[in-house]
Amino acid sequence: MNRIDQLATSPPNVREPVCLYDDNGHQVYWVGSAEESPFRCNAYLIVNGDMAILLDPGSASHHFEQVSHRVSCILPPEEVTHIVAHHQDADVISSLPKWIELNPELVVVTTPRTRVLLPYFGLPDKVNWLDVSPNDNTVLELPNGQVLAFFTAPFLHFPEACVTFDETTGFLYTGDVGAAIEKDWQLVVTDWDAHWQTMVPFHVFYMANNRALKGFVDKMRPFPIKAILPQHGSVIPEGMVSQALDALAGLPCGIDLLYSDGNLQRAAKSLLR
Amino acid sequence: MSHPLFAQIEREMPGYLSAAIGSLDNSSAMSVHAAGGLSLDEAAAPLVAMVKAYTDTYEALGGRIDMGSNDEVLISASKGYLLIKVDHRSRRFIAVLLSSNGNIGFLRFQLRTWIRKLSA
Repeated sequence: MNRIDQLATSPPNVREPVCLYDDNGHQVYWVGSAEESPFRCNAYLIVNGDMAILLDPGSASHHFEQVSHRVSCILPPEEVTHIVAHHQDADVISSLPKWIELNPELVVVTTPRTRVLLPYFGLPDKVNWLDVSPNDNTVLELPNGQVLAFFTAPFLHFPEACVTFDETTGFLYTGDVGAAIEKDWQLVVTDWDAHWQTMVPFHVFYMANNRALKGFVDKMRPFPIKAILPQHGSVIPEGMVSQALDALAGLPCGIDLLYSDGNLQRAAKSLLR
Repeated sequence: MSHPLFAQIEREMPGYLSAAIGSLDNSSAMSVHAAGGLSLDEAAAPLVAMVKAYTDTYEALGGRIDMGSNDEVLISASKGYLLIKVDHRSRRFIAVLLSSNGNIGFLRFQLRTWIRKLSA
């Protein structure tokens, strides 16, 4: 059962892990940090049979203690079998060496260009990797026969960032896409207009440009998305997914604004003349 | 001969060009649909032979090492894709030809649903 709508009306205790979905042996938990910082970390744990997939577990310095404690309320942290890194920012994944120390056999799911950078956080020589292909054909088959499917999100904001779509739940885990910087944080968005105001500054500064955002939205929009779960900010419930995608697809950002007088377009036109 | 899935594939899949539903055991039982010009009908015999060769190769390897469950056959070209999903129980398959401006990720997602429908 998808509990996100229920969590919007009855805010949960975020000092503990929060169950977002539980049905037929497939569970999803928010195991993020509840720190008093607008840049807080949403980590998520997907449990299905003997697989436990932890997404964007946060930094070593600020988040590992909280996130690992929350995971330990669900299962022993050394039983995490996979870690997904949607990109390599320190606030998203610098705790990776600590998770590998707990289970040296776990599999790290990420894109090849992210994989190049992760060892700088100090990884052991041997790491089990699953590369997310730029062909968007990478899946992780779960014991229930459904899959987690991985898609690239080019230049949002890392050149080879990626997202995860959970076919069982319809949850789209988006890393920094859909993220927000909020002082008055709540786990699930209840007021879209107010929440959009907290998403705009983040996307304007971090995302490459509108073309990247619109291309990503066009790619993901056909999927039956039941919620957007970013690494910062709040979970966007099913009733607001369409509004969120529309808003992102229409947002000028990054170099659209830096070169707002259209230098690039003018240069391109003059080349075509 | 038209299969009811074809209308759904054409409706839901941007960049759709053609689709085929066939059997590994009977190459003459293939059902083909096309949106306009290019049709998989023109490649029916080699298509069945290729999918059969792929399945045989996978099974030969799968008997020796743990390959996990197989997922798809993909022919990727600069202007399009041919993506094929096989139901190993019924030995039937669906092949979809998509232009390069189509959504290959969404096609994969839908093929997983369609193949379940086909084998139901």
